[in-house]
Amino acid sequence: MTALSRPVQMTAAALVGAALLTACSGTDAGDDGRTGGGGGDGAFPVTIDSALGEAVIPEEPERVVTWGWSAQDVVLALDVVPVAMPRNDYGGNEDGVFEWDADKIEELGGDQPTILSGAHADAPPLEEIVEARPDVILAPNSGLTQEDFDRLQEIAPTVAYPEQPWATTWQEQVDIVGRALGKEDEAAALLEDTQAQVEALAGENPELEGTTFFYAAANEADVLNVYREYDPRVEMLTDLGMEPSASVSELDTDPDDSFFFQVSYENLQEIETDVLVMYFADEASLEEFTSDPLVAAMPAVQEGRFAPIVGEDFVMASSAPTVLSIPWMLDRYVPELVAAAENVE
Amino acid sequence: MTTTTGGGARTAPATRRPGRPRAALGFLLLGLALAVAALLSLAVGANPLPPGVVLDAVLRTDPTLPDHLVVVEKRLPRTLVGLTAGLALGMAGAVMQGLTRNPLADPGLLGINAGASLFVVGAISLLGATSPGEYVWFAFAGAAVSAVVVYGVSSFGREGATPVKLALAGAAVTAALTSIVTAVLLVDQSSLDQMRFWQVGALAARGLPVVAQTTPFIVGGALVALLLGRSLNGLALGDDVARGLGQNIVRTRILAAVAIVALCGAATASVGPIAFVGLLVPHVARSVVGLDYRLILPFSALASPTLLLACDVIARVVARPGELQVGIVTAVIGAPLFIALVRKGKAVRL
Amino acid sequence: MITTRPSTRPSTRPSGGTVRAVRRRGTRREAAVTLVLVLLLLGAMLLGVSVGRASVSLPELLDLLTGRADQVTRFVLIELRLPRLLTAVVTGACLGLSGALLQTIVRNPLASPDIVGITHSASAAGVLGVVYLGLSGLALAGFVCLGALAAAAAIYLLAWRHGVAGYRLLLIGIGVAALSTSVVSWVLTQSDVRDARVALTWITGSLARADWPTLNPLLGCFAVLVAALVLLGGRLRSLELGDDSAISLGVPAERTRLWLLLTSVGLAASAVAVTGPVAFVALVSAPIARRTVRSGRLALLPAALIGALIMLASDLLAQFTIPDVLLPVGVVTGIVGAPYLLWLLMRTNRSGAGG
Repeated sequence: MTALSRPVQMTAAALVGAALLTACSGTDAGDDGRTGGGGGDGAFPVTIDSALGEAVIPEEPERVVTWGWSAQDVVLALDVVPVAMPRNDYGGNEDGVFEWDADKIEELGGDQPTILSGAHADAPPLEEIVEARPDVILAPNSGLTQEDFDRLQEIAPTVAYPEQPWATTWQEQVDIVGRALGKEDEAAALLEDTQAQVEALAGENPELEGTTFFYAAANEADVLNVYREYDPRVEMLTDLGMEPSASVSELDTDPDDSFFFQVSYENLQEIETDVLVMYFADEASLEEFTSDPLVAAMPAVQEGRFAPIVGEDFVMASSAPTVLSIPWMLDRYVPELVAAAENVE
Repeated sequence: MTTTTGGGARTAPATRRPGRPRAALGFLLLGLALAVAALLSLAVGANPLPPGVVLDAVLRTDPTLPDHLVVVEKRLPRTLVGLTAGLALGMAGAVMQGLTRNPLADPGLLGINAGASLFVVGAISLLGATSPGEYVWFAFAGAAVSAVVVYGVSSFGREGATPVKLALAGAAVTAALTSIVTAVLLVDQSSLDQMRFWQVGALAARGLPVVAQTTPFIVGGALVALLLGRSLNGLALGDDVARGLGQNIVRTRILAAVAIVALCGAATASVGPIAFVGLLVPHVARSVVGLDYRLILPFSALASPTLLLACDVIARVVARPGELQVGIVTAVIGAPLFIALVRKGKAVRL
Repeated sequence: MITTRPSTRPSTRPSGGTVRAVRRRGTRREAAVTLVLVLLLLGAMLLGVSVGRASVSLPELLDLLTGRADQVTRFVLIELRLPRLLTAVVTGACLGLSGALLQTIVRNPLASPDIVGITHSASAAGVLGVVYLGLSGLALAGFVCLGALAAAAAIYLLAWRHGVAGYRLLLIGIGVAALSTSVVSWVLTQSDVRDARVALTWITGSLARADWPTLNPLLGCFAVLVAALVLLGGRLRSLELGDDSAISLGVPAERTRLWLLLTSVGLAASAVAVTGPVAFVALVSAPIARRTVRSGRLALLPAALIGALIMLASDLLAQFTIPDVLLPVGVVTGIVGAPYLLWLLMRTNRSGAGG
């Protein structure tokens, strides 16, 4: 009971916090699972296959419920306000809604979506989803189990992830949601626009080109979590023209494991990089981190080649990029990176 | 609490007499082991520094050399935390097992860890505390409050705080407080973010201020505990026998509770909840030195920090370039040892 | 629970006449308590079926009975609320019984499956199943059940040394618990933290995924184990008096203990396989039952009912106390059960009746 399981309970609780930041990290999920019907716009019924089963959407859905990670961003970007969407405690406002989502909802007008109880990685709150009377349930990047899926299917056609839970890239999500809503052309245009925006910023900031970076987070006592190359937050930086530091692969002892690995503070001096990128929930945690003598002794920190991302919403947007969050955060993100890159000798 | 039928009276002197020379040897070996563990804790880590550098770092610290900083800023405080917290955990476990006459008693049992956690969560969530140095006092207050509640609840009724009532009240308070803590952490994500630096029992990232804050309590608690050896021996024979021997049972219980709060509060405050050490070490002690608490307590005081430091050294090395939590290692190493001990019949009943 | 020293037991041995009188009074009180518990449980179930986040209400429940309910109402009541309620009741009863049995066999109030390693190994199995094998639903429940049974077998075999002494069993159980706990921590820190939230169910226990496909086998296991318990019930009472008395009454102590242990483990394993390790229910149900019934002996039926009631009440609280948040039931069980136990502890004068 309590005495022994307590620390574990706490560890798990802590990890859930970490999960909020990392759940978004998708490994490459391979092909996009496109199989069924769906030609051009309005070609309903549409059939969308997923790892857990087929969703047959009989007509253009009006009442959309989203579940899992960031599907609501794509739905909103395609000018549809979901009737219900999951709560985001980390990075969300008081109601658990991201600022970029709230802005878009206001822009589109109409009814405010119902915010579902429980975080996006819990078991879906079935009663609340029933209450939203959905035409379709979109969970392209989620942790739904087969049992969850089967019961959701009884409520409305449900779209799950193409292959692995929590491993759908933001690009794939745009494609899947576009097909489910019968807005494939708009989705393709959206994807192109967003990618063009990133490329344009890379072009405007040649300082970033070829600058090496080391992306880490200080989530545990005296240990850094270092993100591997296929993590979306790392991919975002490479899309901007930067290159992962050689230290990332040199320190990585088991590269096939997951999307991050750990480095003890005792080994901070082995990190060689032009720019050190890290995220912090608030200024206090940033101060706590830099006040560590070993951290303060890192050349990147001493010489201002340190780009801390501070604030939950900013962390969220840069960690789990979507078609809505990328435009929201790049104007803040890129100058921070450039400022750090300018201090490189 | 166990099915011992008046066994204490018969077995205690019997095991004590032949145990004397063995106990002396045991203490000697333990002292050596502790010294070795402390040295290893300074010399070994995720960063494989040569011994010469470590020695240099301790004797002639150069704050501009990262290698020296590793030793002075990371390993030294960590070793000190391991020593003090380990001592506190072991002694607290021994006093608790004696007080409650329950072989399962450990610092998690009397609600101590849960109380400390609740107050730390409250400090973070409501008052905005941010560093382990600030958490210490809250952890302490929480440990004390929950111990007082557990003891108070158990003391109601005619025959006062019996072992059964203590054990149940401790488990109940622990369960209730743990529930509240988990609920707060699930609801308040930013507290969760803060909490994880403290809650995952670890020796890392504590720092010298934490050692300075907790040491007076640990020293005080340890002294009270050592003085209680005789009384705990009496208590082990049952309340009636102890009373018959002219002991003041109520005073013994209150002093033991004070020692437990001081020791557990300080340990939990400095390293977070580390389970199993406080449970395991007194059992090892009993199997080596017998049932005499005058020997069990000092034995636990030496064995527990040894175990904790040794496990922490292993925790730093096995997951290079990262580190493991010490709590995982204590269980992986301690549990089979404990099971073997119990199986060989060497775990002496309370 | 039974305590060490004769001094703390109901001390004097009364003459046959008073024993019978006390027993009769005890039985009557037990019956009354049982009745009250059943009524409370039915009340809680009625509440549980009529409130929820979807706006399906009591009148609609009546529609359902008369066959006039629409499809949504049917779905909410039959597919969502009913399996959840029944799962709460059955797992709660399982845990209550399991704890009561184990505490009697081992004679320690802290001997409950959530202390001696059975639920811990279920956690470990659950986390391993989720993270490494990608299991869910019934497959996961089966895997967890096997894990818990395997751990229990290991504990029993490790504790075997010319028979199994309760004391040794308890300590070895705790060792196994510590090991399982570190397996869980290790898996959680090493694996993809994406699974952490799902894995959390396997540390705190939750009813959020209760459904018919897992409830049905659970009901089957429960029925079989309760039948076994009814057969063993008489022997349990003799065993309560101590091994010597049991043997003098012609009850083979060791074998009876093994069967009871198996039943207890089976009950705990079936419950945690479905919900994950919900803390405290198994630990607290029997002491509460004992102290409420005040007969000084084991009260199995009340223990089962109290377990069910704690589980159900906790789940309702977990779902509705904090708006916008659905807590796992295991987070609440302590808050619901603990104050009552503390109150009982403060009120009881005779510690012999407790434990």
